[in-house]
Amino acid sequence: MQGRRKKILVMDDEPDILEFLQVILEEEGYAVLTSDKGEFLEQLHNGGLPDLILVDILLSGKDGRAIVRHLKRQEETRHIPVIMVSAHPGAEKTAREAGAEDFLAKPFEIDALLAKVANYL
Amino acid sequence: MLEREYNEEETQGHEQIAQVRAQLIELTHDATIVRDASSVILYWNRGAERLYGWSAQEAIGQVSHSLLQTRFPVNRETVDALLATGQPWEGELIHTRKDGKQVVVESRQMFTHVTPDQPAFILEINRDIPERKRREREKVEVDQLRLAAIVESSEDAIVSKTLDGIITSWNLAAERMFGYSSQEAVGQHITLIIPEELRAEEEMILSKLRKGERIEHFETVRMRKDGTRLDISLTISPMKSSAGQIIGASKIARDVTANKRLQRNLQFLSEASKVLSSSLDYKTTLQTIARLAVPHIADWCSIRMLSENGSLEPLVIAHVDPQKVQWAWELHKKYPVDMRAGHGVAQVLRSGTAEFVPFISDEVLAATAVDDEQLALLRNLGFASGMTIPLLLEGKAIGTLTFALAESARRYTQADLTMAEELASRASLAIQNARLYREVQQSRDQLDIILHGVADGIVVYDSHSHIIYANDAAAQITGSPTVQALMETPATTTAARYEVVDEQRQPLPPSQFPHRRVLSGEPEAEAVMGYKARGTGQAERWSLVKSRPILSERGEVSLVVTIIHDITERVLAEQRKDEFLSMTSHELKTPVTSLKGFTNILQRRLTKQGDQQGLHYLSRIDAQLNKLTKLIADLLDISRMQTGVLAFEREWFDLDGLLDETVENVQAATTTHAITIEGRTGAQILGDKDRLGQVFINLLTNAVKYSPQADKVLVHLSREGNQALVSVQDFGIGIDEVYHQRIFERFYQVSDPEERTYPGLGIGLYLSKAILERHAGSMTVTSRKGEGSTFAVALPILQEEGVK
Repeated sequence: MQGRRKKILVMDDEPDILEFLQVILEEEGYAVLTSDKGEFLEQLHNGGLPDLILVDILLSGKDGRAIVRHLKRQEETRHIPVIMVSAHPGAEKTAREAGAEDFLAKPFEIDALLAKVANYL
Repeated sequence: MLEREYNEEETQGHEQIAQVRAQLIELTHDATIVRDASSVILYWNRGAERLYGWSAQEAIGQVSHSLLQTRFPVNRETVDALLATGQPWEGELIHTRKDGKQVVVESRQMFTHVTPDQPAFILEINRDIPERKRREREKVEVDQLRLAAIVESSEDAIVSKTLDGIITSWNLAAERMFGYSSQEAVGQHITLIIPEELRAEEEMILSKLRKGERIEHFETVRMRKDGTRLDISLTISPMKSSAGQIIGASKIARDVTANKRLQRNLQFLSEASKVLSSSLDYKTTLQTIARLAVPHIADWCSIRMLSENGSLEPLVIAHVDPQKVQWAWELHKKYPVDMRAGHGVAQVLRSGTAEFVPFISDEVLAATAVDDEQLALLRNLGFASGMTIPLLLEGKAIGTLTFALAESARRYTQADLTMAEELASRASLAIQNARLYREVQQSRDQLDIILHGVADGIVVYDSHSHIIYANDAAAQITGSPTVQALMETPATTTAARYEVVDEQRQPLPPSQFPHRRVLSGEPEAEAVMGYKARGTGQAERWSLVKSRPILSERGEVSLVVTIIHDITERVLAEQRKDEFLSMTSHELKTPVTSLKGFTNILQRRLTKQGDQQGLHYLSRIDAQLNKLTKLIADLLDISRMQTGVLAFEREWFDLDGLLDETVENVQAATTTHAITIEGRTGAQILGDKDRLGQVFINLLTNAVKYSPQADKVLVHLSREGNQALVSVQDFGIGIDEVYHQRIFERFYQVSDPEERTYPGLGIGLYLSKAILERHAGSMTVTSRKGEGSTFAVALPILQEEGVK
């Protein structure tokens, strides 16, 4: 292991998705933080800022894009790359408008996801 | 005496001249007479002695007209009156000589004074008219007699009168015409035959005559001895004395009653025709005509119409006296028409031919009356002449028209019958027109009821896009309070008031409305239109709108009929279904994502363990998950296409490049088939490259999938006019022609008992076709069962500068 493990924050309201993403990403050598309710601020303070955020557009009760906009407005989180995922392929445009660096349509190939993640880390 | 006075008063020279003059007078052959104002002869020359046989001694002192038994052409007073004015008089006189023989002389007379204060005397020179002249005169007299005979036998009344209006002659025709004998009329004033109210007319005539003017064909009315009137045409000439003086007038009167009647008939016919054509309410027009007919055409006029129960009911009874009309109605009530009668209106109605009784005798009345009381009533009415004409409709009598004369003592003639028949035929025509109109009106009303009853909106536009007809449903569907409001709303207002969208919820400009498309030449146009009143918060409504032209004889679009079928319910149901599909497909993706994720974890584990069998199963699971993903994506696309939220990019791209790329990708996934591209389109296309790529992927994968026995797929690229053509040909099982249309339908797939079912065909083709249509393109299929299929795509090539 070279230096610190890169930390990825994963937010999705589906526990199964959080689980397999956590397994795969940890197998790939990333440190993974998960949140199923979008309470990301707690997570941020618990273990310091993540190196990348993977967030679903539709979280139960919250709009993932609102979270991204908030993060991109904060000086300390603005630099963190964000990849948004959605079952709505048409949502890519709005995700990018909200400030996300990248977008991935659900369901996705794991390899495609890992390639995108690796691209930002 | 004259000479002596002369001698006394004049000088010697004058005396001598006077003597010479006197001798000259004595020597002349003419009879020269001087008489005083009371005609006492003062002088009588030798000429007079020779002509009349009396010597001067015998004659002087006598009254001249007594001595000579003078016969004046008019009378002595007339001559004297003229002379008194100082004018000379010339004329012929008949004198009786001493021997009793008559002599006709040319006489010249003059009134003169020697001095103003002395009494006047008259100079008279009479010359015997020679034998030759006398014979001529006799001939003239014969002629005059002959003329008199002609006058007497003339059909025209010839009357002469003095300038004072005293009748001086009265021929036989005048006796017949006016009812006065010659004896009764001569010596009477002409006002004898002039009706009271026309007396002024005679003054006018006389004043013209005095001026020597002739009056020709002057139409007026004169009165008979029995007080009845007659229409006459007068020609009046002044009568001159032989001296050229107007002394009276000759008057030729022609009875023009028949002419007048004909004229009146024609006038009535013309007025009646105007009334008949003025309105389609034939009952009112017939009533008007009956009233027009009295009293000029008839004293009584009645029109009867055949009622539904077969009786003949009076529609109108007209007479100048309303009391008599009322009485006639009562009479009718008491004695309704006996439909079995062999005469009168019943007979006319049955036979369809007119009944003409120019002279109604008492026998006729007696035969008509049903009882003594009615006979008495009829007698009292005094019907003198009558005619009844049937009103025929398509050869069948439906009523009768009766004209009768009573108190006016006229009689109908054949000419009157002709007129009445003509009137009846015109009235029949008017009734027929009215009935036809009513029938047309009725069927129009019925059609209107039907049109207003149908659930679909029907709107008819004229060639200027103005609404000329709309039914209730049209008003209701379009949200207008009334049909009137809909028709009166200008198109621009409608456009401003409503937000109109097409099936894909894209704004639909008014030029694309079906009726406008038909007006610009399309033979038929159809569109699904969604509309919502702006700013009212009303729910949007959807209609399927179809327009068809009504062409004029010249083939131009004169009207456009538009049928608006309200499909709001259907659209809303589809929307709910699409929303459901959209939500479902979205929801389906979440478990698929998890499935793929865990499959991937397993793949990683099994790879580490080297479990090839397990990995093979997992790859099968993953492939099926990918198919599922594709199906879900198509489902979502379709639903979004339907609800109009499927966004399309518009960018320029190279079509050939897209196909190269697509073929390469599909080829990479297939090992069974070789995909070959032939030709080039060279086209730049404006549109959504990814969506169109999806179309070609779909066609290529279908071609591979449905030709399991074949080993190749051909892609032909070409250009035809301003269209780029792409066709994908396979050599597979083919599609029976009966399915060619249906395979493009949503969720349709070819599956009959003998054929295998190919899931997925329907969605893909439907989606592809929809994508192409959004690019103004099209897709067609040519295929035969067992011979493979060719799907051909056509895309318009737009000019770059023409694109916004």
